[in-house]
Amino acid sequence: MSLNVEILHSKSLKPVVTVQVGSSANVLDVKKAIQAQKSYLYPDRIMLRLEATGKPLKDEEKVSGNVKLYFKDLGPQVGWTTVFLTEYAGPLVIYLIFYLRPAFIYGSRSVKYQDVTNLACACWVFHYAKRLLETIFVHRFSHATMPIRNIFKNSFYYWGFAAFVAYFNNHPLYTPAAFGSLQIYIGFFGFLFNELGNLSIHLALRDLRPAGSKVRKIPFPTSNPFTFLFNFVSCPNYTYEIGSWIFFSIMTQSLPAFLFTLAGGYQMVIWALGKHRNYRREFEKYPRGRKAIFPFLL
Amino acid sequence: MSGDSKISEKKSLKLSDYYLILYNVILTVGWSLILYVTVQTGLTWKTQNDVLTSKNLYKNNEFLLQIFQTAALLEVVHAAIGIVRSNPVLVFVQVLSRITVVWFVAYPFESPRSSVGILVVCTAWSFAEIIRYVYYALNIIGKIPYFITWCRYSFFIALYPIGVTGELICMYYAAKYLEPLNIRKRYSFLLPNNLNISFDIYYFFILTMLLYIPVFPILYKHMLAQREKILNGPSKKAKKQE
Repeated sequence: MSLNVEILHSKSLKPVVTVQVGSSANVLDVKKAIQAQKSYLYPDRIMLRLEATGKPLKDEEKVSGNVKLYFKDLGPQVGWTTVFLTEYAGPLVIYLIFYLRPAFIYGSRSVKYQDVTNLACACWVFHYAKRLLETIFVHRFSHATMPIRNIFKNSFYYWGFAAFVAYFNNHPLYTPAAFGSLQIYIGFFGFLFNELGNLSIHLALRDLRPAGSKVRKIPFPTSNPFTFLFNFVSCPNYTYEIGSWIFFSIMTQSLPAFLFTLAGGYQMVIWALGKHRNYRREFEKYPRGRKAIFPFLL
Repeated sequence: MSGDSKISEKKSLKLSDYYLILYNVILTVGWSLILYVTVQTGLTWKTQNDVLTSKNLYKNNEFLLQIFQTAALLEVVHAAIGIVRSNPVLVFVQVLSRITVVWFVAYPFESPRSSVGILVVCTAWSFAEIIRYVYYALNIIGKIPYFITWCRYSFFIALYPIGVTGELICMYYAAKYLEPLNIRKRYSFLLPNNLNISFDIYYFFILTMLLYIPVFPILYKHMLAQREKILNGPSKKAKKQE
């Protein structure tokens, strides 16, 4: 027995196509059937809903009985890995251009770098190399794709800020820490601590999701002491990330780096609140005292 | 330059509408004064050089321009609290460039004040604003002749680019004055400093002028779309409610 599913446009409410699927079909099968008729509409770029403005249906959900579904074209999609690699390779290369070829940027004035300038470059490169490697070897994404314009939007943000921070941090007139080496050491070790914390959380989240699956579980602290933050917040990876940039800003005594921290922090707070809400909605037994990103606060 | 009132002719006026009528009437009078002063000053000019330096015009109009252009910031508030149906961000961007010219270009620097840019902005702004505020005021009470609506959604086609040209002329003169390092230093925050950041007023003006390239078409297209909607909209009824 087969099922006729009428696909309506969620804005105009006009019929798009009618597809035939087996009686035990799920949403993904419907999407594939749509693609069979309109080849440019591959499943990742299709959103289907029961109501014109309702919640998107998940690929695994069955369509039994629902003969009308509302359709939205999400636009051309691109893989998360591609987006992440583009976003993160930019800052790495851009910062290194400023650091390695200062004459090219600032004119031919001779530059004798401060120790902290070298250290800052090492931290920056470490951070983005870590992110690139994590994207390739650690992260398991629950969504395969995102809209293609994100790649431009995100790259503009990351590349722009990289140039902004790198320009001042490698400038021949750069002023090192006002409180001397103590400030630099505090900044450096604080940065390193938070980077390790961030990596630990990413590894813990990876282990939570078996390879190739889209399973979601409640994260808890593991044997790695850095993951104890899961007792207090839903997204400790962001907590550590913000920490990294605060200490980087302290070490380099750089207002541009601090502005980057604020912009990134703002975005991460929004993401964390969203993920926190999803966790609480999805899991009845989600730990009550947990906040989204800042222990006891937010 | 959007700021269309929520109300249609059938409904009775709310308190906010009385306030908006008052606001629009005051601003109409204000910009009429600016136009009057502009014409009066222009009539005293004898030589081409008087025109090219907008002789005495800034001095005569300074106070009025500062008062009535700054008042336009209230329109951002009106949009934000919802007593007019406009996008507060668009309104802010539109007001921002003029506030910049009045307070950060003409007010601190002599060279834009004695440029033809002042004549251009005083003329273009006052015509544009008078027709706009008259339109808003009449729109709230719902008795608006088609002629006014047509002017409000047609004059901008010429006045808006002219005004922008005037703003750019003023900024160009400010930037030119600021270019030498010894002058630039007075208004900038340069390296080295403990925050490791710098603000260079010369480049700030260059950047601001370059920003007109992406922003102006957005606002102009927005106005053209409004014009299309209101003058050639699907029904005449809908026309009056906008």
